[in-house]
Amino acid sequence: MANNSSSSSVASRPRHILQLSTEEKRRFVDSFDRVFTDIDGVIFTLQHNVPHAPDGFAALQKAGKPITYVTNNSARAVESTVRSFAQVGMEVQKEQIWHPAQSIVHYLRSINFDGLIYIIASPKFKQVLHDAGFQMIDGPNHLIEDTYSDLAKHIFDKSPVRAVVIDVDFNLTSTKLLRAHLYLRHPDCLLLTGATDRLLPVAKDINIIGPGPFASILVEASGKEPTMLGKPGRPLGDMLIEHHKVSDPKRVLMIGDMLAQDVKFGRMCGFQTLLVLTGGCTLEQLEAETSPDLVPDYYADSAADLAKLFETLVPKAHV
Amino acid sequence: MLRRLWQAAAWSLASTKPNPCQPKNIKQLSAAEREKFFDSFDVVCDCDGVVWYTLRDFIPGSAEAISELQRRGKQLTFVTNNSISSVKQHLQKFASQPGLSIDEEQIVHPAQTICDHLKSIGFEGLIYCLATPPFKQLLRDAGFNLAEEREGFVIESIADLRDAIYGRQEVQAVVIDVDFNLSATKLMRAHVQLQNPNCLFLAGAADAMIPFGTGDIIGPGAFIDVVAKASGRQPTVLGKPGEALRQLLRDRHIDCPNSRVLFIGDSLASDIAFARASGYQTLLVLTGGGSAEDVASLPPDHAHLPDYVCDCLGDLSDKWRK
Repeated sequence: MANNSSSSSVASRPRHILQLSTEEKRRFVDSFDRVFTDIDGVIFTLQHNVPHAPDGFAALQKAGKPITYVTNNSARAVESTVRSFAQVGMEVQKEQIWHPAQSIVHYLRSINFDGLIYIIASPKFKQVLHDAGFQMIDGPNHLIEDTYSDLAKHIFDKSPVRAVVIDVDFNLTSTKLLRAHLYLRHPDCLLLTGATDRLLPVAKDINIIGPGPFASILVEASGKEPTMLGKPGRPLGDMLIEHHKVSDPKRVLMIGDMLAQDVKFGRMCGFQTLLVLTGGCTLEQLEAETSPDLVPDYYADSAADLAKLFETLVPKAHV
Repeated sequence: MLRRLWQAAAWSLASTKPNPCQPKNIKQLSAAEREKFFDSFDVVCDCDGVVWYTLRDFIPGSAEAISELQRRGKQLTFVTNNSISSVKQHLQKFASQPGLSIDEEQIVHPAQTICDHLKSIGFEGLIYCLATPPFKQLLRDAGFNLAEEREGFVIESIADLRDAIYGRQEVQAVVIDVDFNLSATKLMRAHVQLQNPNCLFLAGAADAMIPFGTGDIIGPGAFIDVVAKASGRQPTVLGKPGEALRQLLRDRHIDCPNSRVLFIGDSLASDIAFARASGYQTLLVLTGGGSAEDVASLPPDHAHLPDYVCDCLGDLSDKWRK
C-alpha cells in the first residue's frame, strides 16, 4: 500500500517499483485511476530522449489510466510538444498537456481578470497570454544608463498594472524585478508565478539558477502571497483536480524527476508519487532526502520500468 | 508636510509617556543632557541619506552639524554604500559647502574596501565584477584584471544561454555590488564560477532594500543572496551591512572603545542594526529610509532600535537649531 501520510515527521523510504512483490505490484497498479506526469527529465532531456520511456506510458494507457502531462516548461509550444511526442511514437492530444502559461490563462479567466499585466517571461510564454487576449507590458528590454535617475525612469511607471506574472526569462534583469515590485505596491495588483524551480538541470550534475529565486525576491519584497500556477503550486493542483473531476486525490499517481517540483507537488495535493531517476535527481540525492514533503512513495530507474512492471503482471499469452 | 506634522505629533505624544526603551530625541535633550551626549563619543560614522539626500543635494543643516562635530574634536568617518560616485566626487561634494573639509581617508565605500581587501591578500587573478563603471574603474586603476562581459546581449536560444554562462574565461574572484544592468545570466555565470572552491566571493553594498522615492526598492543584497543560496557559499561582504566591513571599521578605530563610537544612519536595517552589532551608540536621522512610525512600532530591545533619533542631522548643530 502506498503511504500517503505526508503529515508524519519521519518519511518512510520509497520502494522501487520493480522490487515490489507481484502482489504489491498488482495492488499498486489498482491503487490509481489517473496519471499526472512531468515531461522533461521523464520522457525527454536536453540531450536525448529517455530510452523506452514511451513504452511505460503506452502500458499505462493500455491499462486504462488516462495521462495528463504537467510541465513547468512553457518555452515549448503545446503544438511542438505534441510533435515531439509523435517523434518518439507517442500519440498525445493538445488537451493532455498543461504548462504554466496556459494554467495562468485558465486562472485569470476563472477570476474574470481584465486588467493590465506586467510580464517577466519568455517570448513563447507571452504569446500564449497574448493569444488568449490579455493585455501585457514588459521590459525594459535594453541596457539602461548607470545612474539612479535613469533607473527611476525605467521602474516608476503609472500604467494600471493589476497583475505581475513571472516565469522563466533568460533576459531577466534587475530593472525588471525592481519595476515589478513597484507595481505590486498597489493593493489590488496580483502576483502570479509559473515555474519556480530553484535550479534548472542543464546537463548531468550541472545546474543553473532557475526562475524560483527571482520570484522569491518579488514575494519577499512585496510581502504578497503568490498564486503559484506551476509545480509545486497548490492553486495549480486545485485547478487540475477540478478540471479532471478528481474525487479522491489518493487515486492519482504523479510521476516526475524532481523532488522539489514533482514530488512536493504530488504530496501537497495528496497524490501518490513516483520519482524516476532519468532527470534532475540521482539515487544518492533521493537516499539523502529526509523531508517527508520531498520523499516519494515509489521510485524507478526510468519510466520504462512501468512497462516492465505491467509485463510481469500480464501473462504473455494475453498480450 | 502633513507627514512631517504627523511625525512631530507622534513624537510629542511619545514624549509625554517616558519609556526607557524608546530612543531619545536629540532635540528634547536638556542642555546638560546634550553636553553629556556629545561627551559620550569620540568617533562618528556617517553615511548618505544623512548628509545629503541620496545622490542629490545637501540636507539643510548637515554642513553645520558636521562643522560642529569637527569643532568638538570628533573623528569623522563617512561610510557609504554608494560606489557610483568616486571618492573624489564625494570630496568635491563636501568641499562645495562653506567651511567643510574632508580628507580622502575619511571616506569608506565598497569599491575601495574591496580593492584594499584584494591588495591585502595579494590577489592576482581575474575578477568577474558585477558593479557600476566607476567601481570597475577603481579596481582596474589599482592594477586588477577584470573579465569581459557582453553587456546587453540578448539570449534567444539555449545555445546563447550556454555561451553566456559557460563560454567565457575562468575567474578567480566574483565581486557583486550595485550593477544597474544586472541580469539573470550574469548571476548564473557567477554561480557557475563559484562552484570552484578557490574562487573568491566578495560583495559590496548588500542592502536587501534601498530607500528610494516614496518607499523602498529592491536592493543589491537580494541578488547577492540568490548567488549565495545557489552556490551554498557566503560572500565576504565589505559594504553595509556586512560582517567584514564591521571588522574593518573596528580595526580602523582600534584605540576607541566601541561604546564611544556613534553611528549615524537613516536605515534601521542597514545602519542601526549593523552598528548595534558592533556595540556602537546609534542615532537614526529621519531624512532617509526610516520613519518615526517604524521606530515606534519596534518592541523594546529590538536589534534595530536606535539609542537616539532626530529629524535631521542639523539637530546636532547649535547654530542650526536657532
